[in-house]
Amino acid sequence: MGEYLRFLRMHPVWWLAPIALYLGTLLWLATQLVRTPENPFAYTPY
Amino acid sequence: MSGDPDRPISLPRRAAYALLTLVLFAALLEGALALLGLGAENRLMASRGFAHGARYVVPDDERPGGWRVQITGSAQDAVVVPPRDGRVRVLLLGGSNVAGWPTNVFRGLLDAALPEPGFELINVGRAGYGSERMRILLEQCLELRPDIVVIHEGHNEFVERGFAWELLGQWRSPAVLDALDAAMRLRALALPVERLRARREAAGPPTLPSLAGQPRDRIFEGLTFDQTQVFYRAYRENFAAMIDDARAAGARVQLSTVVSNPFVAPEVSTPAPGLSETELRELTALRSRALDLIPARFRHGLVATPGDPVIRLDARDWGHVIPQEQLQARLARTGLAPAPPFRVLEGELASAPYWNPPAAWSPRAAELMATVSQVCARELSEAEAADLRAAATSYDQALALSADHPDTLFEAGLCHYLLGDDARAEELLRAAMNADRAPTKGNDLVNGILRELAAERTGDAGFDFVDLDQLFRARSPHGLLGYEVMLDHCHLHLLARPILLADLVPSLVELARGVIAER
Repeated sequence: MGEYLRFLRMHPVWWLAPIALYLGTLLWLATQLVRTPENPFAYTPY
Repeated sequence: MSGDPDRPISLPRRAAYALLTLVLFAALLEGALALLGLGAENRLMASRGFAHGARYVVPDDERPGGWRVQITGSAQDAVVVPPRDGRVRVLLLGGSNVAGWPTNVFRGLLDAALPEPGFELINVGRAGYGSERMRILLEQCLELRPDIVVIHEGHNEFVERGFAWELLGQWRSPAVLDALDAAMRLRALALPVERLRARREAAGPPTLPSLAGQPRDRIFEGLTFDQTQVFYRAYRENFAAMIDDARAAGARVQLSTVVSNPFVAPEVSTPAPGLSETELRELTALRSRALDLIPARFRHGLVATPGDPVIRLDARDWGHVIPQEQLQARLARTGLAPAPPFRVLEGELASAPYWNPPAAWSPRAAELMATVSQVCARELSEAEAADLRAAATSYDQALALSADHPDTLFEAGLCHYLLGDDARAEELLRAAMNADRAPTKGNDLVNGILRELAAERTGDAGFDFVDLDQLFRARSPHGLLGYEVMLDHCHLHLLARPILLADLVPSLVELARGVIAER
């Protein structure tokens, strides 16, 4: 536990970078996912 | 664990701690979002209905015994299915046509015909759905234990496949789509998707994306007629499987043909393969000569000419599904021409046209209807008649070169219609629909498959078939349906939809009587 806390304190880049990468990936995926519309038409005919 | 503050932490340990931190962070984030009730929507967006592994029908947590059909994953368009009661449960399966059926009107018609025990209609129709996604959805919807499954679709095979190709073009592999569906369980992903989607919807209609740099409508360009047959084979296989699956699950099935507007030009037109360069040039020259001979008042918006494209209407052009302020602005216009005269239809369609008043139309709808009205009136001067006869001859020569060229068939059909040769016009316009390389409306090939599937099931008391195409053609002049009844290539005007539903009622009531007798 002590070593883990020391890791958090001394090596912020080591754990911040994956978190930033994770959030960035989620955001990028989200932008890609909304790129394609729900169906091939931009309207529902009713 | 060592407590020595000076001892360096080894690289593998650092990596393990980094991973642990990431997992803890992700779990905390999920927990926090769950506590805040955020990111619960849009769980199935990635595969858009194509994934066999996704759960499109899930138990409804709020109603024990109830279900939710979450077609896209969005709560807004989830279909809530209450626990079963004594009514006859009817599942409506199809594309945008079924999605656009006025379900309350349908239920009213059915309840009036057979008041006890009444009908429960579950409409899982969805715009753009063709046989592939319908089959996946039906497999899961059978958990709802429908008494009757109504299957009605025949316009979307190429629409759906084009969409599937586009998805694959974007994500490369179905496995990636499956992985994304799984990833959508993360609220941390679902939340930005939800927010971005809302922002995108607020910004208005999206620009249609492209596949590998090609515009959407170019996906099918270059298909030969033989290649299109693959799509029809898949359609047949999927429909046969849907009927058999539903019957095996104990549900009765109603199948019906689809109705389409033959006065809409083909989507994709490719000459027959094997033509030489000289023959292709000749084909183009013959068509070009013929087109020049058709007076502009008969072709504007109906036939594509350089600088004058085909006008393809949709529901918005008639004043449906547009913002209220836009509709009010249209209605406030003055000096509009009255609705142009159209053809007289028969029987149940005698009240046609079924469109909104012209004040609600878009300018392009008014433009196209002005042309269509002149085509229907067929009032030709002698010079125009002579020109059209010459055009028809040119088209015949072009068809001798490429007998299944969709645009040539369509334009030749129009010429013969104007000249009053109704039988030939019907033959050509229908042939144009069949020859279309990527049709977005049903045709004789699709309806032929449906009739074959029905014929194979003659004698099955749990199956019935309604030939809507035949019924609607019988009520239309020369067997050609048109804009009086249809708002575009494949959708009926809103006021015409109850007529189609009424055609389905007697068969459904018979199937329901069988259900009741078996209880």
